[in-house]
Formats: sequence, C-alpha cells, structure tokens
Amino acid sequence: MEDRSISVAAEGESGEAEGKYRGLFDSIKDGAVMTDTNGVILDCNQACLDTLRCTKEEIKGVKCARIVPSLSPTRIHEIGRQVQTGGSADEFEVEALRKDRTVFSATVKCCLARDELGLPLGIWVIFQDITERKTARKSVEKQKEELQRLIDVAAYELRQLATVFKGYSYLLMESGGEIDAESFMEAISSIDEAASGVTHIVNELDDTSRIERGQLNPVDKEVYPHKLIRRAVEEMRVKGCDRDFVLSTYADESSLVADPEAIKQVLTILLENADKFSPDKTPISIWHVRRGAETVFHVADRGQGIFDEDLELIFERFYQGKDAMRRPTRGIGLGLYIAKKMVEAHGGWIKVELRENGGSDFSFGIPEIEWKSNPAEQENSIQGRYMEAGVSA
Amino acid sequence: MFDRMEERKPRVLVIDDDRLIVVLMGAILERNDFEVLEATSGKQGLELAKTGSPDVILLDLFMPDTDGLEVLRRLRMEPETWKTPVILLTGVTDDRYTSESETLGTAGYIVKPFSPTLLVNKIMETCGIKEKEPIGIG
Repeated sequence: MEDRSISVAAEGESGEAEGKYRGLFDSIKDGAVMTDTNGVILDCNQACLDTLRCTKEEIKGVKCARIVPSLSPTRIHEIGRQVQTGGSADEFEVEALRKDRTVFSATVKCCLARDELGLPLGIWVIFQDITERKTARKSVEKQKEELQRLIDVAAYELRQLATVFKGYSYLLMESGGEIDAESFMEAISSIDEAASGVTHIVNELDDTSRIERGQLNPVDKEVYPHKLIRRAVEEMRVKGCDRDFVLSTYADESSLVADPEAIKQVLTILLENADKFSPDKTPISIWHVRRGAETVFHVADRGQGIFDEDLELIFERFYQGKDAMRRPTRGIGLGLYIAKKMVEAHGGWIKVELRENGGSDFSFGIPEIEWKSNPAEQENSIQGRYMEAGVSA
Repeated sequence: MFDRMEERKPRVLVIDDDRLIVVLMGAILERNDFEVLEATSGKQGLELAKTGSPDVILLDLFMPDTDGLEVLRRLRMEPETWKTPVILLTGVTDDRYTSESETLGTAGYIVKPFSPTLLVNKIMETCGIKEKEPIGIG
C-alpha cells in the first residue's frame, strides 16, 4: 500500500501557502503584477484589474511594455537591468493605457522575485494610479502661478499710482502754497485720477474675494434692459469717458428678472474694457435683444481685437494677454472674470467674438424667468433658475 | 549752430506709456529748470530721442508696444543716441530686467515710487550738474 499521507500533507501545506499568497496578493490596495523576467504578465491582483478595467484572462501573457507605451525600449531595458542587478528599480512615473485605451498616470515600483535558491523567478510590479493627485498638483501649481501674477501686477499698478501721489505731494508742498490755479487743479485732478485707480483695484480684489468665498448673492428684481444700458453709459460719462456710444435698444422695453446692480456692473466692465482697447474716436455699440428664452446684451468695439489663443482665457482670473506686465491699460486683469461670474450667478453665459472688419463683440445672455407678483412664487422661480445652472443663490 | 547744454536748460526726454506719470514728471522737471520732452510710447520716444537731442532719457521699462529694453537696445544702435545717458524707471524689482539693462549700458535704475528730489539729483549728476541741496520732502 502506498503511503500517501506525506504527499497529502504536502499538498495540504502547498494549498495553504497558495491561499496565503493569494490573500496577501489580493489584499494589496495598489495594483500588483507578477511578470516573468522578460516582463510578460503571469498574474495580477484585483486592484490591477480594476485600474486597467480588464479581466485576468485578457492581461495574462501580455507584455508590460504594451501597457506603458510612454516608456521607450531603452528606458525599459534600463529598468530591467536595475532590477536584475540590484534587486529593484527606483520609483518612476509613467503614462499607462487601460484596456479602453484611456490613459492614466501612475507611479511604479519593481523588484525581483527569487525562488528558495535565490534564483530570479520573476518581477513584482506595484503601481498606483496618481491621475487625481497629478490633476490636483497641477491645479495647485496653476493657482500659485495665478497668485504670483496677481501679486506682480497689483504691485506694479500700486507703484505707478503711489508715484503719482508722491510726486504731486512733492510739487504741492514745495510750492509752499504759491501755485497758480491751473497747476493746482491739474495736480488735484491727477491725484483724484490716481485715487480712482486705487479704488478700482481695491473693488476688483473685493469682488473677487466675494466670488471665491461663494458670496455672490444676486438680489433679483424686475429690471428693464434698456434702462440698465443707459445707466451704464451714464456711469461711463461720469467717469470722464467722452467716446461715442451707439445705443440700439430698438423699441424693446421688455423686462427681465435679474440683479440690476450686477447687470449694470457687467455692462460697465464691458464698456470700460471696450474703451480701454479701442482707438480714440471710434464708437462703441451697445444693445440688447430678446432671443428665445433669454435676453442677450452686446457691447461691440472697433479696437485691436483679441488673439485667438486669448479668446478662451480672457475670462480667467488675472489674465491680461500674453504678457500681463506689458498691457496698454491700468487694471489687474480681474474685470472680465468678475463679469463672467456675475453672469453665471444668474444662470447665464458670456463670450467674445471677433467682428468682421476688426474689433470685438462681447455678449452675455441672461435666461428669463417670469416675474410673479407673489413673492413666494417668485423665490421658487429664481431658485429654479439657479439650480439649473448649478449655482447657489 | 551748437546746441550746447551750457547755453540752454538741460533737456530731459521722458518715455512712459502712463500719461499720468509723463505729465507728473514734466511738472517735477520743469519746476527744477529742466526742459522736458514727452513721449507716451516707445516708438514716439525713439523718434524724439533722435530729433530732440535730449541730454538724458528717462525710460519706463514696461510699455505695450515697444518695451523699455527694446527701446534701450535701439537707442544703443543709433549713432545719434548711442551715447545718450538713459535712466530706467520701473515698478518691478526683477533681476532679469536689471541684468540685461546693465549689459546695454544705463546711467541708473530707479524704482517707482521714487523720491522726486533723488530723481532730480540723479538727472543732475548724470548731466554733470552740481546736485541740489535736499529739500527735506520726498
């Protein structure tokens, strides 16, 4: 009779070891792959399958190099050499392919697996999907760049304005009170203009701060677009703008529900922008039109136009064109960003298009909601618009 | 006829795209007996530098069309202006700009906001005129 007890016991121990190995392998939360010494995949854990979105049958027998096309053959060879000679390779980053051909970023560690005699058995490859972490890192870097740009531009603008205050203080004090009226008025006027510049910067920063804290709370009322346009133009006149404004409000005296101060501010920002970037004497056109279920406002100029690469970026924070320091006008680049946020707080949109024969046409649309005499019904109607836009009111 | 500085007021060309700054500099310099030429762009400044024979140029570093460094490069290429002293004005403290301007040759570098008295004294020093006594302001 054969003594099978030893072989049965050995089989039992082998199965137990296999079970422990399997349990350990599958418990690793990162993706884990076992390859042969040529990089062909022999086994992998569930985390690997979940990341690559494939089955074990689909990945077994595949060369690792096919999953990381971003690695050159030279680099793969170098990693293999590190593993074979040193037992492991330094952690590295790759762009890897899932089964559905989508790409994800990963960090990878490799180490040599040896048998009980110390001979190379295969290679362990442990990888971690860092796509989200990388995206977050890029976002942080972008915010740092934006903050640096804001600081540089704001510091520059404030230095310019401080120069005016300092210079005219010197002139007025040195005159000892003996200054002709014309020079005095020129000095006061320049100081006033510089003070307006500082106020403008402070207001832009304050508005941006409210936006970042989610404190843009539109106060909706029934408003008349043609009146808002007139108020915005009057504000430009009060600020000393003597350019021709062409108002084309047609005979449309319809109303819409919106925050009048916010809409007027958006119009003023666009008018100031058009005034800054247009040659003297060229007119600026401003009009509104009802289009379907929204009211669309337009501010169009015959200025220098906008570079194609700026069309999307122009509404971003602090963006003032390719080189923010070399800009033709005062400001720290927050106006259009603020305008965009105010329009979006109403569930609307804003864009810019180039005009035929030169210039830009800035337009924004405000979706219409019915003005209801019952305050409770009105509130529901407003909340509905904001919820559709995903904006808190 | 010779147009010598001893026979006329020292002539300063101010090149700055900010109209407020240009007018202010004009007022400060005229009060201190300088003749002032004003330019609100690099292109205009280059033209006036050639035709106006300034004794010294005050040049803003950041301008939209032709920036200060480019203006300085062109001034150093023209026979009429390659020796004219240039004092740079800027609202930016950035080593990248100071090092190139030093290579091109400047008479100094002043950061805004500046003391008008120190500016006047710097111009006078550049023109070889005795410095004013400090006024006590600025």
